[in-house]
Amino acid sequence: MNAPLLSVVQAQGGYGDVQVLWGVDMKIRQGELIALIGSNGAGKSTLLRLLSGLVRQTGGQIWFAGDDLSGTSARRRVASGLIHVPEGRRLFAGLSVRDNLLLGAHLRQASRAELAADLDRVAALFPRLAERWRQDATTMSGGEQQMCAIARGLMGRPRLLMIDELSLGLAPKVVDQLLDALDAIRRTGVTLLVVEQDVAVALACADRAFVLDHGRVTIAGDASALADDPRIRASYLGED
Amino acid sequence: MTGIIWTENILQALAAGLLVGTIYGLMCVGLALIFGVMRVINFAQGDFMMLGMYAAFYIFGALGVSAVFGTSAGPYVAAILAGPVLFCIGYLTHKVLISHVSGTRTAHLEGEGHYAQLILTLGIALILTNGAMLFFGSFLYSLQTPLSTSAWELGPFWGDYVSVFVNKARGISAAISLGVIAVLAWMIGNSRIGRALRASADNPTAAIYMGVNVDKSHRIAFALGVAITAVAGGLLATNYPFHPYVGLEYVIVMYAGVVLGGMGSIIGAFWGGMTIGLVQQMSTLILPTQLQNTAIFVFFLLIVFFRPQGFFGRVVERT
Repeated sequence: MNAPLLSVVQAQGGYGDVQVLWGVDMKIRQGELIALIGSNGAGKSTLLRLLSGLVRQTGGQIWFAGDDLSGTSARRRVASGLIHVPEGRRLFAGLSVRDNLLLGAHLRQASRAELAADLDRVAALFPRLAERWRQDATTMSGGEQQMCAIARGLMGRPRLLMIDELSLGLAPKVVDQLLDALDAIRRTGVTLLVVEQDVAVALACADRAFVLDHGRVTIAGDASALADDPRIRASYLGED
Repeated sequence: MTGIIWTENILQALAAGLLVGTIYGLMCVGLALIFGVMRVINFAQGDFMMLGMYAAFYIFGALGVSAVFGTSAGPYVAAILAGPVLFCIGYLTHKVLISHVSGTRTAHLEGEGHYAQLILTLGIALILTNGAMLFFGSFLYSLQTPLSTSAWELGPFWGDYVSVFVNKARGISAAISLGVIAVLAWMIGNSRIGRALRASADNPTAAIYMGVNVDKSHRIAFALGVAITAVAGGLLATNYPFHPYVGLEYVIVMYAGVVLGGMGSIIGAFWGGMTIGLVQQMSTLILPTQLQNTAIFVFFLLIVFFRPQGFFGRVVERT
């Protein structure tokens, strides 16, 4: 079996004196779509921020594409293809959709032609963005902003795209469109790690899933198997 | 006849206001760039402008610009070259001092380092003023150009009665100011570094997610802001004498312009500076010269009363 693209070994981290992650273990292989689920405060977003280099790592190791990321800057992680679509989208106000997307490619030494081709590629994936090319990105609807945030991440040519709270606050129809887009993205060879509150949605679209509880991975396995796991059904799907 | 004299005086004041306002606009744009990107209130901006005036003076005289470009064009070349010199000084000042109290280092501190920034920039202002007094003395310097004493005549209009005279030195300074603003606007709107500056200004954390080096963006914004104000200083020096304390006179104008335009808006800062220039010159029609600054602040208070966010202040609404 191929070496994992991302390997997290006993990773610890948190904010100042408050430790949130207490030894997370996780391995993700190239081309997988992984769901990260857990209750509020379990540490899902903190784990993504730790992987992005925005939360201080206090222990353990993180390997990405064969490189030890421990102690490396957020910039280096982005340059190596580890790209984070943050919770709340965090699009840049006052910048057009196009400029937001170009910022996704900030670290790439790409020619104008390459950037234009990539813009066409994300426009084909999310046609609604192409209709709003010159509009202030933060004035779009929530669903369109999420599309823009994912497209901005894709402009960085990610090897692993981490999406925090994919469906939060979005209509079911929009969520379906985003899930179709994720499937299309995965078919291009991009590995996906998705934090999702809606466990049923997460397990339906993912290959595998990790359940995070109090800063530790407590359950991991194939998504289809976890969907039938009585612990998951009781804790996250509201079934007795 | 009185009506014709009034008309001529109004047009003359309007022309002078537009010209001075354009240079004030450039001066304000430098400060707005720093505040807009870094959210740092730089009390030393007037003193960096004063350094720009001295830099232009010495570039013109000591570095041979006067010999190459002559006494007419030389002062303007020197004023433009003061920009890169002050860019380097601003870059170093940020790297050595300002970076310790701003940017990602202070994001977690109470007030995001603003209290330390106020004291530090005030300290830099005092050091620059007193340092300049030590090095250059208290004499009045000026970057004289023969163009300061000649004018273009517009008109005559309405028969032979009304003419407007445009001082050549101020006219060229205003044209250069517009050129610098056009280049800056293009850079911020279209270049990679411009996008990085705007991203760092709007949401530093999100900019880090994109791989933008926010601290470096702040450094470039600070250096660029200082350089732009220094060019404005060099251009002002072609018409006004200067001394080590001149920064204090202009820093108030700069802040009034930036607040009038709308804190954080670069184009707003230009129009804020322009407005101040116009009010200052038009007020001379009805008020003694000593009350020019009073007129500026009465107008300033009126605008702030009716439109607290300034001309171009953004009320951000996110869906």
